[in-house]
Amino acid sequence: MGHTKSIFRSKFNMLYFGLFFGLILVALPWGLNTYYLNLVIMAIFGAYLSQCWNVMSGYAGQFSFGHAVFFGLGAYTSTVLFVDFGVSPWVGMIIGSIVACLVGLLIGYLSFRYHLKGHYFALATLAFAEIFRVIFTNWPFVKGSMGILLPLTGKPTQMQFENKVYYYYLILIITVLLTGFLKYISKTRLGLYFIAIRENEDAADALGVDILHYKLIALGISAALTALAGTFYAQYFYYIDPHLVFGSEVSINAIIPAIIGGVGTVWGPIIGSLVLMPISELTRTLLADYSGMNLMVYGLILMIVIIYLPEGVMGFIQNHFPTKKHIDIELQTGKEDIESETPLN
Amino acid sequence: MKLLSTSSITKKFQGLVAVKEIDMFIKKGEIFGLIGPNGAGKTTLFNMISGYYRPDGGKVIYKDEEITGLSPHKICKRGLARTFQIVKPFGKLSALENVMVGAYNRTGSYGEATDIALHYLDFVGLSHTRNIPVKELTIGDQRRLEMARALATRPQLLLLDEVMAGLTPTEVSMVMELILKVREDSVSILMIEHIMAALMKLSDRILVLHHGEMLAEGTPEEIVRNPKVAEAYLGEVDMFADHK
Repeated sequence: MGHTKSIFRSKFNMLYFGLFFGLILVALPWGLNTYYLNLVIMAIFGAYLSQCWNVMSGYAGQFSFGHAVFFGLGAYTSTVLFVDFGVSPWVGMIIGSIVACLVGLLIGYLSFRYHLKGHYFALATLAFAEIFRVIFTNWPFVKGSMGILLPLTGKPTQMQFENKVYYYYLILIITVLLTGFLKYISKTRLGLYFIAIRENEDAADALGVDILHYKLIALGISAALTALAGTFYAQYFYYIDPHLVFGSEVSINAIIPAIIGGVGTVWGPIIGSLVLMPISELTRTLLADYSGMNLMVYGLILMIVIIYLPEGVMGFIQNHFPTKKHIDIELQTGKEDIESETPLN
Repeated sequence: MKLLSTSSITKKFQGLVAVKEIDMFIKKGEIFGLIGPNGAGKTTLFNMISGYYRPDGGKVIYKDEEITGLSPHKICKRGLARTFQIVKPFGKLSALENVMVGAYNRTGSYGEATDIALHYLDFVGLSHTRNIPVKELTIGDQRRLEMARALATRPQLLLLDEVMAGLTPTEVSMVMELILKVREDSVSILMIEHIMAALMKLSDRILVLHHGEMLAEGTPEEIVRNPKVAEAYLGEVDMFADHK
């Protein structure tokens, strides 16, 4: 009985905690000046981008070093449609997603079909990203290396907001939705199959998991969602060029928050981004007098984190404060957990 | 009635013939043992039946349909599951989640998969480990977990590749009981095993492989009395004699 009650209590507390936290997130931007609001938006943006990467590389274990492909395609598709054809980025965003998804599936099919795994797959994705960067740099139709400047309209129907607060809500909403989606699938067939493929491909295959099929699903979802981040980036900064959106920095920015926070965990990329943003910003402002120094310090901090927290912040938390990180079966069956019962005396 | 049969199935690795024209069959409800010295081609034969290797010749027939060269997941869908000689657990998942991956082979529903997984965890006696990440389990528990995982895919034929290797005598007798229990559930079994006492006791029929070829086939009693089998296992001495 006590057990059931404690579950009920903890669920109840979680609900209140969630509501409280949600309210803070909704109210937060109104109390911040432009500088801090921009920082918070960039932190959430980083979390979202890394969460997209996490779907395919964290959960399904297919390490991508070329997420810039999908980011860039999203940014360029919506921007070219907007600038040259007057299509609203709200629509362009969806089309960009579809384009990125299709390109992702093609890259994935070529790589997985020929059993590229691990480092080799990562290198292949890096190569694809570089191919796209070079193509866009030399393609007059998309203005090559000059890049594209977006016209300022300030119209919400064209995904432009004069008050940055709305960008905050936009990126917050898609981040929350994606995180909720990941939280949800980690219990379903899809999520367990992703993890099974990551943990041991042969064993998953023997248990009836169509490896190629599920790898492509992970890649397709990841690519489509990453393209949304590309559109957001273009609409937020009003300028894109091949280096900015197809450069390897984008791919690295998608990877690092997840690695710092914990690869293959629901909260890892978010925690990682929230930890990294202040570090990167502090080193940048404090060491402004010494050009390049901030990057050195930032790199040093990254190295220290990777050495001492090889499984990221979430891994550290789970190893040192083990809680119910696995599906808690008592909730479904109502069976008493004998091991956790305290002795009667 | 034949559940599984192979006809002159062959596998070569760069000129080395690992398995050479093996004909065998397994009847429904049978426990079929596969033995042979190291390198005899037992696991290679297993890998061809379960889809990990494409045979260079010959056919695999399962339930009157040819399954030669199908990918492992398709073979699993048809009701043929296997375990691995070297355990391949999903280390970060709990025992229950490991078995659920198998259970999802037959259902898409979370509730049903959980029920099936709980049933088979209980079946192999691992209910108490359900919330523990499997990398923390002992080798004996991991082997039983592999069985539970394979059984959760609801096969009619289970391929066991040295499930008793590295187990304590107590665990061996536990796994032996398990195998008999599995057969009672009308699942046929094809097993590779080095622990002869266990294999002789369990098997209805045994096939002996040597250098990729069939050396003998028959009931445990016939195999024990077969001089060729003894020679294959202790034959190095005789070979020496031949060279002189």
